[in-house]
Amino acid sequence: MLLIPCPWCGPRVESEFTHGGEADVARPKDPDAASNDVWLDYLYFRRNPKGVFDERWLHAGGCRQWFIVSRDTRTNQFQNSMDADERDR
Amino acid sequence: MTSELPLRTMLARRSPLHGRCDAPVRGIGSETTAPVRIHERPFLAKIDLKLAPNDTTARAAVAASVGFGLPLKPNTATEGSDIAALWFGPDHWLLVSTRPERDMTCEAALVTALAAHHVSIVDVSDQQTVVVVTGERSRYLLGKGCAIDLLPTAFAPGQCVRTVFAHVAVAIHCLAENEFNIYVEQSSAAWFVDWLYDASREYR
Repeated sequence: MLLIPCPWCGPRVESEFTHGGEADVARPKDPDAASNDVWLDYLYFRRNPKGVFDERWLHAGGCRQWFIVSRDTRTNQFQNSMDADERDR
Repeated sequence: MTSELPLRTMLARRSPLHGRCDAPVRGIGSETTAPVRIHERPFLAKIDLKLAPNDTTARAAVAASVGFGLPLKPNTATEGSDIAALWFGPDHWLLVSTRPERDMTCEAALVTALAAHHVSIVDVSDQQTVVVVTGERSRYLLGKGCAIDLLPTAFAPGQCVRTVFAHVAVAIHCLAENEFNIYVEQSSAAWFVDWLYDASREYR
């Protein structure tokens, strides 16, 4: 069981959270001009690194907030948990 | 024309845990000395309040209506004379009347005071009921159902958490060292107290 650091509630068990996939996937700025390949990349393709990976989590069983946290996919060590809204600004 | 009976004459009000938390039914011994005691506090008025935490004028309007400022520190609660505010999220609080009967005198004042603000005020009195767990073994019992650090140093009076307890979404509010209000949805409440009674058998 992972202990995931919520920026508000502190470390909580994995079962309280929903995984939101890779963070910072940018939607095409001009949707009408984006090619099929750009849309394909935006919708379906994600990085799958061996190492530090920024991902989104929802604290569904607690404060119900989305946040972004770095997880090392080799060790499952978490660091730099932050509010997803703050990151977008 | 036939006379119309008021609704309350026809239907007796029943709480979600009616008859389920009575000590004789459960055989858990003395009400005052048992290591774990489980009761219901039914029919408490509750308001679900959402507002932007940086909207200081809205927060001030709430403070003027309820008599104290909303708790801003995560997982804490503030209690006034007849109302408590539980932190549910950075922009989300639950206001609970601490009077036994449904009585939320501040609701109309809140709606008026916050009319010009981007807020959400919803009466959720009937959405949840409150299960009270008291007794010297209450922290041990609660520790069986959730992964919250319940040591008295980590979860002291005045703190609250929302978590998943035995697969049920609950909010736990620590009122005293061995007294906890647990907010649970009505439809899950019966199963939830059955689980609590089953888990507390070793403390009888």
